[in-house]
Amino acid sequence: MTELCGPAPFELYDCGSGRFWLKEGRAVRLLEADDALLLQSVEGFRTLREHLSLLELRGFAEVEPGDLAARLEELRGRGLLVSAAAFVDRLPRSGGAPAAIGCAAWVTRGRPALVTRSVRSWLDRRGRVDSPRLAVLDDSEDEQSRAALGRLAEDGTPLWYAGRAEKRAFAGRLADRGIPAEVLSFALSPSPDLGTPYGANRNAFLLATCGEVVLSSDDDILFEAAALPEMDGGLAISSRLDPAGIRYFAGRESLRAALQPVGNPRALLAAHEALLGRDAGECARAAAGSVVLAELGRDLALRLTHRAHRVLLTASGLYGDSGVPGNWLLHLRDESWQRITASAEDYQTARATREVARAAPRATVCESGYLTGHHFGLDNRGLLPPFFPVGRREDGIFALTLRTTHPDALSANIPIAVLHDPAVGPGARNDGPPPPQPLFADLLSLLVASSSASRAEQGPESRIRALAAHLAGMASLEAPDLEKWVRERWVGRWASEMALCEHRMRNSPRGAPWALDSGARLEQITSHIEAGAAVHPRDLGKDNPAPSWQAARSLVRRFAELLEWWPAIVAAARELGEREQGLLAPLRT
Amino acid sequence: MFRLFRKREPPQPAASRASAAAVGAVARILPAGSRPLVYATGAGATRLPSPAAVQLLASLEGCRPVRDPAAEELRARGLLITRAQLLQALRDTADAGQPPQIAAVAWVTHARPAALARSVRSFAANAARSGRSPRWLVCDDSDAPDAARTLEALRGPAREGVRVSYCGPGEKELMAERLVESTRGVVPREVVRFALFGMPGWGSTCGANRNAGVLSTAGVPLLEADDDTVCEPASHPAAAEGLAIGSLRDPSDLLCFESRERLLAAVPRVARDFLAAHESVLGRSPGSCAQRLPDEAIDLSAVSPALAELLVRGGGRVAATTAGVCGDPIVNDPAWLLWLEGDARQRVVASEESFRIARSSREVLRCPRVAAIGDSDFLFGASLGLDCRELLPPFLPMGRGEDILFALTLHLCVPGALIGRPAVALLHDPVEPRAWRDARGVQAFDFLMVLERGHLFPPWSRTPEERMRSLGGALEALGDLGTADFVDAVMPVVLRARAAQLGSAENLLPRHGRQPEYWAREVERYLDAMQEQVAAAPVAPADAPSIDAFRTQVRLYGALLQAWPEIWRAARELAADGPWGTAEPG
Repeated sequence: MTELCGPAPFELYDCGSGRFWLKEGRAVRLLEADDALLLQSVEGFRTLREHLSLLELRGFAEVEPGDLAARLEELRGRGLLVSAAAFVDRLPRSGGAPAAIGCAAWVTRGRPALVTRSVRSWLDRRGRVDSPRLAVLDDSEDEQSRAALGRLAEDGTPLWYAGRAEKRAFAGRLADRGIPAEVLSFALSPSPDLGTPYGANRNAFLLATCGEVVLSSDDDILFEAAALPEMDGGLAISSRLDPAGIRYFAGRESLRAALQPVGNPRALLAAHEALLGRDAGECARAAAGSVVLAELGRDLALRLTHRAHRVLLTASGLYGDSGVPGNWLLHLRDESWQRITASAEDYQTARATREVARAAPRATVCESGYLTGHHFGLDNRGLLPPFFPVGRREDGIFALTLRTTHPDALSANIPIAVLHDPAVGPGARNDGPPPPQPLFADLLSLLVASSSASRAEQGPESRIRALAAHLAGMASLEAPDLEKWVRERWVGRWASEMALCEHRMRNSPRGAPWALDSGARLEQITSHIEAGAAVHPRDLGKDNPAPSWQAARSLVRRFAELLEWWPAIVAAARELGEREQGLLAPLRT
Repeated sequence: MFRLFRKREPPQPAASRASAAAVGAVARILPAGSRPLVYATGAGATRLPSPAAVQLLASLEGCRPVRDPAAEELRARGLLITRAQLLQALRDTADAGQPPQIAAVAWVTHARPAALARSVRSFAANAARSGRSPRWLVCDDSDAPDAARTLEALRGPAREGVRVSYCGPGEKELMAERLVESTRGVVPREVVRFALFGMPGWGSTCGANRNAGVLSTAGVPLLEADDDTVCEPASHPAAAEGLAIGSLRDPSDLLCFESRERLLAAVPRVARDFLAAHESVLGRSPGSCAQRLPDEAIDLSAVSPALAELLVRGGGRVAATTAGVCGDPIVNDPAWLLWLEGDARQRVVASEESFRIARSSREVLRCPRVAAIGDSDFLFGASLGLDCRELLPPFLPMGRGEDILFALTLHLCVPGALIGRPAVALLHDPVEPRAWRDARGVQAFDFLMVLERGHLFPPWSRTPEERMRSLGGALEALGDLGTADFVDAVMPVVLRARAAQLGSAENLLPRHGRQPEYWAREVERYLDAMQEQVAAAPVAPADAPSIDAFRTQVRLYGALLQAWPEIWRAARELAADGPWGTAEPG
């Protein structure tokens, strides 16, 4: 009863008459419905006792005591339940060699003091060793960051740098290789009218480091690495997009007290390098038997055994400032929600504070498709997609794009957290619920996720081009047609949010603050629908849909052009890098 | 013989039907807690109706009388379309111009010279009685010796004054070269040859033959007839004037007879211009089809929400027609009798004896009582009318079921395309003896249907050309995979689709209370057999020489769908200069 076991990688299809087709690899056999329904309800790899408890919770009742356990044993005997070790043995290995992180880079914009503090924080803890090389991608309008970083370099720290001037020169060299100037401009230095170019700076980072395994850091990160007290050295493979969850603390002091410090950035580097560029099988075998598969869903398990999936993206945990202006909490799920609703006081604390910790208790390999990009690693040795150059949420859109263009990519959450300290005032704005109308980033996420590129095409380059064609097609729709398309999808979100609000109101103690918030949100969505249910991107034109749709279509079209040209841009950047004409230059004072 | 006509309900007065009958709008009902959220797809509007109104909306089926107080709320929220609105839309969209005329009749034949000559004579005689002289064309995919016999057989009708153009293997070779030349190398020779010859090893190349007929007459309405048909039009014994507009997969009725003699005795022959019967609906808008009929002769009871919205928008055109058949039912698998509904089912399962006769005799009348048009994705028949004035999809060049796959592709790729069924049947009389055979496995066209249904058209692909390119691109990409990857990609799609098909088949049992028992036993036997068959060979079309041949078929069919608009345009230009791609048999 103590060995971990879970469903063998198979698919079930209800073919009627109380029977199911069970597909395992390319073989299909018939299975009686009782067995199939039981198998469908067994999730993740757990002890038989744990499976039994979960099955009882799901309403499986025993006719005779011991029935269910006997049935599970029988399924195991027939090879339909397998041990965790047997599952890990089935994971294919692509044989790709892990690589050391070649470059740790910062992206910054107009915050010289913060970026210098962040680089120094790294240097102070790492020591003055040459590897990895350090670089700063700077999107500042002035020269203050260059100057401040130059002073740091005077200490003998080799620092690579690309500011606006370097980007302009690099874009010129790319243009000489036939890449249209307007595409390069959008990719690397878009007009301020389009929005803040957070993603453009990240694109510069991608082009500056192509061919390497790399780390990216925001300029307000401090490398006072810490972890949850329950952190263990094991590995989990999980189907959750964000296995870290979130914890709220009243202040920085209580936050620090709840975490344990973790050595220096070397431990952080090692944690990223242990996973980045490796396939799931290698990661699991390296974990030497301590692989937690309790949250591994059937679909990911099946895909992992079918084809080697590689970790292309690793994200560090984060503690300190939440990074969001307000603390509207109804989007939280699972244990994060349970923690904040343990009491009214916990909920009110979470609503009022900016101090949070987001970290997984162990290294967790999971589905790609989610990223908060404060500090992350990328396997940039192959072709990756670009970031959307302007506006917020470029990190999340990138992760979604990566999922489309690299369906065999995995993400990993590193159990070590870095400190996010943007030096803003204490406390969160006590905002009401955000309007139920999408932002442009929501629209773009919907568009990217609706592409069938990941299913139809072979290889990242064709998938990136297929995604480009998809987005170009969507951008060619007339505004009313695009609006209809968005509405058809957005309405599903309203429906599920309304259902969730009602559920929380029904199942909460009378007067609980989260029940009141849920009621307010429900009322807000209902009123929005009754008032005509606008779905135009609210950040591109609040009350006037027409210019909002026009701007949205234009941005989508430009992103499509960028995607279309991106493989050629990366190839040219690689070639320039090999000729030592890359984007980064050593920072000299 | 058994016949069991259900007494028809007397028609209700037009006024009361018009005021009470309605169909729901196309809507998605999303659970959103205690108050479901409704998204009206056509209007692109989000609504929060009362639960009672949502319940009514979910229960509506077809355009039928609605006597529920919540109907008013649905109507006020734009979620209900009344019969009166539909009739008004039909009246508003009746075409003023001359309806299109079928300009050519093409036979698809393979090594049946005597039957072909009989068919040609019968069509010519029928046309002559109406003073018509369309272009007659024979598309022949026989091998050389049989092709010579076919040409010889056509000399008989020629001597009687029936001038028949001939498109045999040699003519198709020339046709292929001219098309490659005319498309200026845009369309690879391999794809053009696939359209006209299919691939070796598949048996039937009826679809390639049909493509030859379409291309040599591109630009005009065409009737394609099987070589084993006899143009002696017959009708349903309870035929009536009228038009059924609906969304039934096949609105035809079915009568089964013990013998040909009993069939011929029971089924009235009608002195009717067979081409005109097709033309009564082919190429027309729904309004034009209904133009001369009083409201009470228009049956809208089976209109789906999607069709209702199409009608209200004034859309729809009958792009293809199929007449009924009298005699041999064409299909070989008796399982189709298990899924019958309505009067046909009542008749077939009325007694164990009637069920036995239906499953053993191959003498049937399959024909609607009144002409029918609708947004069905299904047709098969011994005579197909094709409105080739506009671009239609190609036929799958080889394997069986090319007409069935064509109907689905038409439905998916040509927005607003309707299928018409004139209330007339053609004698289908194969010269070789035929017998019912239990399913010999799923055939390639059926797999292609599954793949086509699984395709997600991007919202910007709207025109037939764009949609054929989208669908074709996806199929070609699939066929481009290595064989193992191809099987891995196709297998889950097929299993999902088959599971859904068997699930809906199984639902028939409770719907009919598992009665009668002899019918229920056969349904269960069929389900068991299909479950075993799919498990044994999930991706192995019974008619494909190998999995790799099927993969190549998928690739080339995908390439053909993408290239077809170009091929068809080239053929239309060639046809505009006069008959092409054919010879006049001496």
